[in-house]
Amino acid sequence: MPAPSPSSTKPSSQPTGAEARRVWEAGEAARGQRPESALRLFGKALRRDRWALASGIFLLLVALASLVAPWISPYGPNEANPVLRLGGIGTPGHLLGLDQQGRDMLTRLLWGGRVALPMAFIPVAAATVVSLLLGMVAGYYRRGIGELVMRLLDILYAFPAVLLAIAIAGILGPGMTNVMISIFIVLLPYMTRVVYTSTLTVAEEDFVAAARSSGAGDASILLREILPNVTAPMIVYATLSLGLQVVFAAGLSFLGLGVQPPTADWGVMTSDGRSVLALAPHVSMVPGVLLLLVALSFNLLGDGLRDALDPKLRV
Amino acid sequence: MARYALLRILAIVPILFGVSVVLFLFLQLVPGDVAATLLGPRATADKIAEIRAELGLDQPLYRQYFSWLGGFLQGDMGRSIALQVPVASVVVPKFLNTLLLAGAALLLALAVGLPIGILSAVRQYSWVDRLGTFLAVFGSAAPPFWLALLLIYFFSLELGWFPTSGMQSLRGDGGRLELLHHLFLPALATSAIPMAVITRLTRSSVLEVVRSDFVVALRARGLPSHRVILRHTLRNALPPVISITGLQAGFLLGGTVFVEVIFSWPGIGQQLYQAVLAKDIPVVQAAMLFIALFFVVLNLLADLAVAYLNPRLRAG
Repeated sequence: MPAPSPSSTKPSSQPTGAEARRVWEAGEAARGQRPESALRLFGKALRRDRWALASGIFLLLVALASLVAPWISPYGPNEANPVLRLGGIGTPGHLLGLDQQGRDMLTRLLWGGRVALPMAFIPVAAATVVSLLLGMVAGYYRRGIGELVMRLLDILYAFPAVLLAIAIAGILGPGMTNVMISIFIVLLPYMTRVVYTSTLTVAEEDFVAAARSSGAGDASILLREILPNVTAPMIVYATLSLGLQVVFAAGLSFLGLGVQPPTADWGVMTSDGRSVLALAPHVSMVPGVLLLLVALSFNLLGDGLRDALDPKLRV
Repeated sequence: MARYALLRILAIVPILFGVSVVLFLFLQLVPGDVAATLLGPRATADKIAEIRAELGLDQPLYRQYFSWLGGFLQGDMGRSIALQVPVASVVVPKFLNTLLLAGAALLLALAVGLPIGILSAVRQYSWVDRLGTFLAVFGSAAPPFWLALLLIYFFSLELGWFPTSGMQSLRGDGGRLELLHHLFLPALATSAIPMAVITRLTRSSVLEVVRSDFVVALRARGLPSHRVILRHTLRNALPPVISITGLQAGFLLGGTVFVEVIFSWPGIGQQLYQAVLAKDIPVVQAAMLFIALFFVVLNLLADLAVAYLNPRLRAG
């Protein structure tokens, strides 16, 4: 068979850049490996999964209500009505009752969200960003720096997370910032491992090899090829983790290691109710139920996102 | 298998070394002058100087570390600053109490989680399956401190079935039965999370195996259902459950802290909490070291058990 002369080559067999890209995209789409954008992931999860949708709406409402608490709450967060002390659920003018100092429970729940939600959200967001950086670099440069980073994080793995956070928060002293620092430290190894594992898989993919052979540098491969592919699993993980961290941050305040009374916070409120549990169980049960619902919603939303990302993982 | 086990055991050494460095650095985390903070506001300058010398704070950091580590390796874990007794005499008995609580919670979690998880998979979408889903969803989201208060309210204050706190009654005989009576509620509160995890994982693991070709083939050959499940399915479905149970056992050591504080259970979590409040760093370090050591060993055992059950790993 004679070698084809240049003149006999049809123009279409010399794909242009645009064509090559279309072919590549079609192939990727067919294999279901196109990077899932965060926005599309949320859209898919909320459309398909009624529980995820309901949870998302509930969380949005709680966050909004907390945000506008100063304008919508019927009383001040520390405004006391001693006459109605320990009034139960349904006391006139106090939908969710009053605590032992005669403060309105609903008002304090609304204000409490302004403390409880950011106290979990900020460290989770910070840990997500830092672990994306650490995990991607560690997964991409597996031999040298990657090995070092992962072995160092293994050390933090040796402590049960709750105890490590309690020790760190306790030694640093009470306060919102120290709670957030301790949660950030404890989350870091777990989140970095998630990014690291996904990076290892993605780095083996053909499109990474293709990018490299077309002359892309390491930074460009990390940012343009790997980052979009490891972000989605990370969002799933961060959402699931938010539920745990809301409960845990409140737990630190419950123990007196976090936000201090009389600040309205869901953990502080649950702790307030401990001494009057026999007389007025609603004082600790009401904030506890709200914590349960918020944690539950983050779990269901996270499950929905995970199923939307990869239906095979559904359990 | 022997080679794998040896490698896994050797891998622990650098981790424990790192753990000791982290714990040592805890002392550096204390804000301000360490000795003054440890002694509180009424400390005299003499006393502060004495503590500085005792802790070796006047020496360079690496010297401090090696003398601290040397003491630890010889069994001298230092003295509690708040209680003025050797740390070991505080930490060891408390640790045993926590093991009792965590062990009971794990047994409860397995006793409920395994059968419900298996039944949920075998009878998918039945009422057992719904109950399992509810347990898993509720248990993993319920704040442990709230759950503990809820149990106290219902079972102790309202019904009066169980005591609200402690390990023994004031005028009790100190017998086993009395201990169990005190143990039940804290163990139940502690078991919520591992129960949720074990139920969910058992269900998904069994489901996956039940649908696989070889199980279908066994059924086609006419093997009775209980034999297919008990002899063939579970053997293949349990390794991930074992590995997660090992992890959960480790997490339980941390997860008991809220329950211990609320039920006044004299365990290591409560001790750690009190030491943290009192800035009693030697106790914090010793408690964390014990827990980390136990945690690492548990994870190792779970890994080895999984490897042993997996013939492919056993041979290699």
